[in-house]
Amino acid sequence: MPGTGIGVLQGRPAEDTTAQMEAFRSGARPATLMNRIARGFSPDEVRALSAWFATPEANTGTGTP
Amino acid sequence: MTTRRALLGGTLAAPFLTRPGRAAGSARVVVVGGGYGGASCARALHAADPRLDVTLVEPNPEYVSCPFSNHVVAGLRDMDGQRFVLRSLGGVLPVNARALAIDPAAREVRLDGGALPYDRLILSPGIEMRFDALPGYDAAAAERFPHAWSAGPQTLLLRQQLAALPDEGTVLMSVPPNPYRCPPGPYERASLIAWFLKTRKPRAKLLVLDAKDAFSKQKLFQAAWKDLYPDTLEWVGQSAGGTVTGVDPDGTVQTDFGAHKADVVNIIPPQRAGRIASVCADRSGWCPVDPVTFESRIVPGIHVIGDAAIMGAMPKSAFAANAQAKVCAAAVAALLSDAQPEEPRLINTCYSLVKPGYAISVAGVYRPVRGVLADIEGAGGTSALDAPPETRALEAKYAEAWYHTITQQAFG
Repeated sequence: MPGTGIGVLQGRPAEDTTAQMEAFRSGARPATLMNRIARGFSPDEVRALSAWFATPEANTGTGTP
Repeated sequence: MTTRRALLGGTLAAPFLTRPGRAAGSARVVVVGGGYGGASCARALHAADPRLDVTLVEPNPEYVSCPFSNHVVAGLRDMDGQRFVLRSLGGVLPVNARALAIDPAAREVRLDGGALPYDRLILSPGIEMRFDALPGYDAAAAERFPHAWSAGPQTLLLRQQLAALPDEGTVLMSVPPNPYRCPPGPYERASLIAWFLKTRKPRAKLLVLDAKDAFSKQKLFQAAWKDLYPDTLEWVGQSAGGTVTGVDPDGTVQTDFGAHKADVVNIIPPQRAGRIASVCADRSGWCPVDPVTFESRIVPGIHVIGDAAIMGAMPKSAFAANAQAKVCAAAVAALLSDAQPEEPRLINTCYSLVKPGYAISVAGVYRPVRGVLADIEGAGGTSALDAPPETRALEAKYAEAWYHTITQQAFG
């Protein structure tokens, strides 16, 4: 959300989300929390959730994956 | 049963339940409870399938948030930031009524002023205090020795008692055995009360009596306490006599190892699922559910989410309730259109403030394994024990951002 340092996932291009999640998982991108979260998802799952967050449905903030 | 069904049949025509706009044949989903779980679920159901006839039942016109209420107790925030008026939830208008009973055979919820038929029922009632668990600690005693574990007047009562504490006074907290709402919550509260005492009444003390020897984020909390509150906060675990066995009318707190007197007594009692969900509860007092659909293991057609439910490793938190609400909504929408619910992945994150500008977190990622939600190995865990102050400050900032986002998403 704006001004807080937490990035918004909704509407982000799928390739970008996938790349960031992989960087969190490997530790290439430092994090307070997302490194711990990213390790819970397989590459296939990361691709699936990245594709979801890129859809208009995700932008409502209320959609179900 | 026959009598009850006849009664329900006779009360069906309450005017506020008439919904002429409902499309013929659309499936009826009733959600009970307008907290983090219920409000999020009603929205997600409508978003998942706008044809669903979704009704949210909640007797209170506003919701008072437990997350961040420890900040209120310690005087760091006002109650205003905890209150959320229940308006239209993404197209679902809350019905201002109390759910009194469920008739699973007739698939009806009886309200104080009518009854609602359902095809699928989702219960998100939160907790109720077990006032039968600690001798001497009942609802009347809670007016003098607040639990403040359900946000609202209890939160303000504890805050007022702390503000009125004598300069050399003692505060006592009692922490229950697992499971209970918000596993790290008592330790965040202990930290923030210690902060309040250290900065406002430096000669006062806090004694924490715990029915457990191990707790959430324990190493992080204990390292912080040693560093920040060595002369203020004393924690006594189960094996050292921390289990509280009763509360005397004068506020003396009994344990197997002796009695304790204090000026302010905060008893967090054992809890169980909110009363309306008791039909789905097992002998533990909680409601076992399927980890894919959150459908009750005990009563088909009823789903239970949030603090009232048990389904394995996922803790009772607002974050968890919100995640479960979305998964449950997707599963219910699938079931009502004869589709197969997808196997979910769920996330939980709990931030705890140790002092202003210093927060720590615990996270988990969960998947269904042999009928329960299990931790995904290698994922989750706590903030690093050796993290620098900048990280603690960032986590405090992210905790605020999380609170803003989740309350907007649930109630906004």
